[in-house]
Amino acid sequence: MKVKQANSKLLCNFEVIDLLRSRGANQEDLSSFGSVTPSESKVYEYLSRTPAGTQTRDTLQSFLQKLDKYKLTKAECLQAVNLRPLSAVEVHLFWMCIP
Amino acid sequence: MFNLVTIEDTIRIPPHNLSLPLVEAIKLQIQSLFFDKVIKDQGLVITLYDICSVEGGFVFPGDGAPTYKVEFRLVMFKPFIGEVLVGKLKKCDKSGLYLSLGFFEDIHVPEHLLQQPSRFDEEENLWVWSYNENDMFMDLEEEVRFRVEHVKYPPIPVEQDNNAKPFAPMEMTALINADGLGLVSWWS
Repeated sequence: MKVKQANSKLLCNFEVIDLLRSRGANQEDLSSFGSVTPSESKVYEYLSRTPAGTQTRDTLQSFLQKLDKYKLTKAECLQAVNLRPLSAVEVHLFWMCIP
Repeated sequence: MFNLVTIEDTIRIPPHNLSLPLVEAIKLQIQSLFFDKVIKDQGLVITLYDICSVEGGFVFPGDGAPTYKVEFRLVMFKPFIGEVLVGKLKKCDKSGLYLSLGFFEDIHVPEHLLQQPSRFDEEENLWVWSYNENDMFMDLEEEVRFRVEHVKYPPIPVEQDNNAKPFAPMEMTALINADGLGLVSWWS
């Protein structure tokens, strides 16, 4: 085994849950029953309880467009999407220099 | 929290899978070889993202199976230092808290990285944050927001005591001694 590229790309929670859904992790679709491993189901279960469970591609895109003017770094954007902060103290956790 | 890693490996397709389409057979093989395993310094493998290229198909002398050189991308769980995550409190003892994400359980919050001042309640076996003379208990199964302090990949031990805790290939140290961290219910 050879690691060709260590950090090819960062993924947000939504992208991972979307990928797991496409593999059939949401049990409603019985045709794909059994194609996901137990470990994948556990990740799906965890992610469905995070904000990623209700996000869609469109809402994320419009959210990121609105974030544009704040000039956040990539990691800060990722945290904003994954955590979906509801109060100022939660924003302060990942955004150190709020203007 | 998640990122992609490109990996190149030689995959042997066992003969009983040869009736499947090649890509499906390779996917099954990657699934059994990599899923839910830790790759040193890369993180925990969650799932297969895509297969980039397949080469070869060489049958070694004396072997009844073709071997392919496959390049593929895996989704890894590899939190960066300083990332904020939410997990569940699984266990408390004098050395601190043990948290779980459901699919990853080796998260430890040592005593000195708890909210200050905190004390350990011997009767309840729980940690308590004394905030403005209010006792804030950290109950089990509560959601805890924490910041990643350090991730390490200890080497596989050669010998292990019978009563030693199970070996964990990836261990995370977390902190909750900042505003907004700790029990999610404290801050809402």
